This record gives sequence, C-alpha cells and structure tokens, in this order.
Amino acid sequence: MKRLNLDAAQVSLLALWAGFDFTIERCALLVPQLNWVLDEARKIERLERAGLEPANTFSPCLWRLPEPAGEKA
Amino acid sequence: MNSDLFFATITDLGKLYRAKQVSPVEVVQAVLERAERLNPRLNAFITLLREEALQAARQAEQDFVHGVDRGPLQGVPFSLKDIFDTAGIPTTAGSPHWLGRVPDQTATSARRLLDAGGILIGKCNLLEFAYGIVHPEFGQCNNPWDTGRTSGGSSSGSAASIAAGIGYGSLGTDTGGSIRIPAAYCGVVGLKPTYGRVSRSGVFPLSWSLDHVGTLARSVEDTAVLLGIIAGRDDLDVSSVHVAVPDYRAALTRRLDGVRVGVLEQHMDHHDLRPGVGEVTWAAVRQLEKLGATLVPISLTGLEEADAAMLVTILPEATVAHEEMLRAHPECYAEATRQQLELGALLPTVDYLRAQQYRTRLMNEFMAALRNVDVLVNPTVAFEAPAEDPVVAAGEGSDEARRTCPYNLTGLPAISVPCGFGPQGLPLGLQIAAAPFAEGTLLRVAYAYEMHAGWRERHPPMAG
Repeated sequence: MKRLNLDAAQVSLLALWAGFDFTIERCALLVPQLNWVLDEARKIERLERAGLEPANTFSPCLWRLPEPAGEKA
Repeated sequence: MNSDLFFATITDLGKLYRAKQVSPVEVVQAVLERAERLNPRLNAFITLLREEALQAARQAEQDFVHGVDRGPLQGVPFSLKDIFDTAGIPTTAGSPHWLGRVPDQTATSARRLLDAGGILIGKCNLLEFAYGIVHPEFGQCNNPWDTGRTSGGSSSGSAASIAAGIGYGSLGTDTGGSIRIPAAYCGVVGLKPTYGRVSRSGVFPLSWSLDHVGTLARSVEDTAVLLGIIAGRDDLDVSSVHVAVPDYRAALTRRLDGVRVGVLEQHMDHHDLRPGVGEVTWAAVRQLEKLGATLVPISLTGLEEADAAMLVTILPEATVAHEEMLRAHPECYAEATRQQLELGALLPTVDYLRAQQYRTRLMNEFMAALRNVDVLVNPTVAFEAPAEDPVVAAGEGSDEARRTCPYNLTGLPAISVPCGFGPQGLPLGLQIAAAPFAEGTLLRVAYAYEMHAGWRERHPPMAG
C-alpha cells in the first residue's frame, strides 16, 4: 500500500479529528517525525498477517475471584 | 570500610553480616558517603535517603544481634529508579511536574525488597517518565567509565550507581531496552524478566504491553537473588501471573554441557554494528562453546520489522498513559518527550493493530526457534555509550533498541551481561534470551560466562 506524505494542514486535521486540538499549533513541528514514523509503520504492511490475532488480547482468565468457600481450584 | 566490600556480592555481604565481621551501619554509612562523593560527577541520584537508610541499618544491626533473619537482603543497601512509588518518599519520574509528589503506597516489587530486609538508600535519575530523553531540569546521568557520555536510559542512575559501587542492586524498568541498554553501557548485569513475572504495580506506566520491571546488579548471582525476591503474582497487577518462583541461585553452574545456544545471525552480523563490537561479541559466544555449549545459527523471518512495531506500539500507548497530564500541562515535558506524546495521538489505529498482529507472528518465530535451542544470544547494543541518549521517534533511537526491543514485543526474558570493551574503552554487553519463564536457563548461561570471562573484576576508574 502506498501512502502519501502528510503536510502541516493535513496533520492539523488529524489532530482535530483525534480530539487533540491543543496540538494543532505545533503540527508543522511534528510533520517530519510523523511522516518518518508512518514510513516505519509501512514496513509491517508487507508481512503476511491475515488471520493472526493481535498480541495482548484481553484475557478474562487473569481476572480471578477468590474461590468460594468449600470449593477447590 | 575495605573498598573491596563496595563490590562484594549480596551473598558474600550477607555472610559477613551473619559472621559479625562487618555491620550494616558501617556498610550503609560508607555507601552513602560514596554516593555523596561521586554523585556530583555522575548525577545518578535524584534523592538520597541518608537518615532513613541509617535508621534502617541500625534496625538491621539489632535484628542480627537478636537472631532475627528477614532473608538474603537483610542490611543490604539498594536503590530504585525514581519511577517506583515509595510511601512517604518523593517520586519524581524525572519530571519537574512531579517535584514534591509523595506517594502513599510503595510499589509491590520495591516492597518485596524492603520486606526481605533491603535498605533503600536512594531514588535514581532516569529519562523523563522513562521515555527516551532526559528533562534538562534533572540533567543527564553520566557514565562512570567516561563522564562525558551517557550512562544510557532510561534506568540511567540505576546502572551508573551500581557500576560505581554504590549499592548492591537496583530496580529499573524496561520498555524497549531501558534496563539492558544502560547495563551494557555501564558494564553491569541487567535483567528484563518474562512479561508477567514481576509486578508493575506502583510503577508509572509508559507502554502497558511493553513495560517490564527488572534488576540491575554487578553480578549474575546478585541478579538471581534479587529476581527470586521480586518475582511472583501480585493481585494489584493483573498482568502478573501465577507461575511458581524457582530458586534461581540453585540453577547457576560453571559448565554449559548440553546447552544449545542459538546465535541470532541477523543481530550478530548486521551492518549497523560499529567496529569492534562484532569481534567482542563473537569472542564471548566462542567462550560459551568452550564451556560446553553447542552453537546453532538462527535466523528469524520478519525480525527486521521489530523496530517499526515497537515504535507504532509505544507511541500511542504512552500517549494514552500521559493523556491527562499532556492536556493539562503540556509545557511540563521536555520538548522531545512532548513531541513523542503528541505523535502518539496521530497514528492510525490500523497501524497499531497491525503491529500487535506482527507481535503474534514474531512470537511464533521465536517459539519455533526456542524449540531447537535453549537460549538466543546477540550483542545488547551495536555500539558503545554515546554522548547523549537518542530520542525514541528517530532513527538513532531505533538503532539503539534494535536488539533489545524484540524481547519487549514478545515478553521473552532477556539479560545483558558484560562481555568486554569496545575500541573506545567502554563496556559492551552480551544479550541472552530464553523461553517464557526460563529465567533460570538464561541466568545459568550468563553465570557460566561471567565466571570464566572475568569482566566483573574490572571497575570504572572513578570507582577505585
């Protein structure tokens, strides 16, 4: 997948949509780093991942209540 | 106090206490004086706890006199990275915004060291909120081997102080290499245990799915002692697990007959290795072979993408952890930290989820390899300590964490043990990793190497 590099105006919109409007005035500063990070993220796209469940999926089994009295674990 | 005692092991110090050959008050007093003398050059401590530590030392002395034995750490001075909450003691996380913050609870792992009789001497300097850059109000922690260079981050003061003979162990946190990288730069042993092995309760998060609590110490044996104390399920941390804690010291042996050592080819011969690092690491690997281990070349598909997955995971997770503070007081952060937190708000969710899928894939790769070998080895970092810490969201940050971050992404245990010196005369680390909860195996390999290599006998010139 090809992605276009973002400019400051587009990054400002992203910040607005994300609810981080307080960063808008700093978006010009963030553009080069954000484009670099998105370029890095692109590396993962080329790996086959179909059907793989993401790591660290919520695990209810870790939330254990104390065993009721008289019952064995 | 005999200066050799600053570099004694925890076990040897305990024997001397129990034989009444030296007293906890004498040792704590000497260690505090040493910290006060060296800290102006190192900047390793944010807080030194002179009165509290001496009071605890007097109590330990009385306990020894009355035959009360709280365990292997009784009377032993230790320190904490200043991101571990300590009841009644300031905890700053290296941020001016937290100056004057005094928690009312102690982090579980720190509490376990105190319950085992350990004496907290101070809280150590770190990168701001353990996130990539030091806040200028706190200043860089300097490397005891060359004070013109960083001790590495983010567990900076922990590594520097231990290398300089100030205390006998320290707790740190490791999200992409923040224990192992400073351990390698400072020539000490740094352990990041398996995800879930040690409670993170009471430690301010950076990136929940990558954060680990671990140890910095001068020897593998001390590391085994400390891990045995802090490991185990904690109801206050849902990510900690019910897995029995073995006697890690009992696993230490001087021979490695029958041990299969996987040599991670992509990290041993990568083009980013600076001159001399590959040679030093290969010499260490050959030493493992001489000790009886069998070397097996290992190559993992997709390992090269680990840097990217790390970045795409840590950025949004850190932003979520800091969102409240970032919105209310953005000016309190160092500029580079603030930029990283802002970047995390702008990454697409799909990229984050792809990175989590990648982690599952990477874990499958590692587990397939670990069916054929007992441990994996590679250099901890591709170079010696630089002048300053690189920021996370830049190429230099990825270079630094390239070999450590795969074990944060997978949660596998990994240790950095000193393996020699680079061309600039600074320490280098050998990283050893193992299967989930196989800390005993990696400690065994690290111990055998350490015993034969002899690097532990060398100390920074300023520590003499």
